[in-house]
Amino acid sequence: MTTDFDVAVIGGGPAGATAAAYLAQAGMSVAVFESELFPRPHVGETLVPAVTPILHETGALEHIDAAGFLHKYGAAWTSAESRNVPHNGFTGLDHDFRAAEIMFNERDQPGVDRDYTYHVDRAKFDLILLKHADTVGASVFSGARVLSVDFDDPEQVRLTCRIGPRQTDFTARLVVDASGRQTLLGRQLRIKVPDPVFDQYAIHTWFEGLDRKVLSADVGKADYVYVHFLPIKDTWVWQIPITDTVTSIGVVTQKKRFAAANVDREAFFWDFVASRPDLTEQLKKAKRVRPFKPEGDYSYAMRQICGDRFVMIGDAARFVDPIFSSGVSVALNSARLACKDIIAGHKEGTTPRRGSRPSRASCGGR
Amino acid sequence: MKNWYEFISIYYRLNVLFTAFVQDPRYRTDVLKMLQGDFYDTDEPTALRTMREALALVENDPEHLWHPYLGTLRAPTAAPVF
Repeated sequence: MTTDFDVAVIGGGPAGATAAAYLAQAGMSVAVFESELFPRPHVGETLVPAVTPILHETGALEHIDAAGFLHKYGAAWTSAESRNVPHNGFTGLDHDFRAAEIMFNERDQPGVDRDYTYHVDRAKFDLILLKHADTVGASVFSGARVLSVDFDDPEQVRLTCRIGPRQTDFTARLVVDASGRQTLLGRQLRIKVPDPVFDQYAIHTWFEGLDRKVLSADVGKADYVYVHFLPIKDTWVWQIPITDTVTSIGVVTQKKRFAAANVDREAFFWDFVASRPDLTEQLKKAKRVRPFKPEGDYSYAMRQICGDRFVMIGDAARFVDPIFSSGVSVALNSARLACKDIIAGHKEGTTPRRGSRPSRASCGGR
Repeated sequence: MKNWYEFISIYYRLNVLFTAFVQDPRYRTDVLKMLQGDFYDTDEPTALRTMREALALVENDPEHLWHPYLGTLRAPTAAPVF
């Protein structure tokens, strides 16, 4: 059967763009349907080194390097805890339990050829990856919102898209859902389930002129990603350098706390940050340069992430919590794992089936 | 990803356990590996297993020195949720 494309990818974020690049470079015809027009802002602005091998493989790394993103050499955690926490037999506690840092160069990592990763303005980063996918042969449809996917025909999928005022159908042999937290297939197939433990919620913005050196224990580590714990259960603040002068700040807490506070986003943000006077003092000296933006529906899973003619990758498959900056890494790694099987299947003339390797290897499905 | 989920769960449940393990030379490499994004192994890292065992001790003993530091998010420590 002839289809418009071998593979249709829903979403042009890091997961979708990376999958498209892998598939196009393998000689498959692939289309990316992105509902928004890039560049557009997005949360998830700091990476971990596990993205490096994938950016190498797809050839995108040189473009990321050229973009001049800040280098990220490590991560640090600070605590609001002022009590003397018993060591309980643990050793090496330079800072008691009030702080901790790691540097990525402390451990050699397969495929990682540098001692840093990146903090990124996602508007620029995501655009670079999507342009790269286009350059290596993927057909990118921007402003094309996939409305539904029809699986009735066992030999193909049919995507109904809205592009501007028009509604158009495209066919492919299989679909990769990289729609992020929109979770298009998860919602359509009714297989999305809330996480049984986490129900996280975030409010974030950018500040110009925040003195990151004052907030770091060591000025040489001022450009690390910082996680500042608040003296409120399960609540913390991220501090991510975006440029030399711009810093992303976000408060993460349980959704129920925001609902219980019954205040607007700005009041909620400042009320919570106020529990760390050191952080508040520096934020008040800086200038907020973006509106406060909420991120809800943070924590969910899918009962199934791979089936006949579909696979979900990145946030479209699962998201738990941003605490360790793993979002983009999971997006890229799950794209890599899924594409490995898709490409192998293409060569064999098969498509992903329920229970095939991507669902287990990339995203931990049952 | 099972290891990753459990790591995050333990982190929220008892922050001081993370701080202790990331700074302790016996476990630092294991924890660092996960923080670098290398958490796709199917085998459970030693540090994670030890963290889970330590957490269970703290949860089950109201007199434990770290019991007052427990968070409210609670995942089963004996079996993965997914």
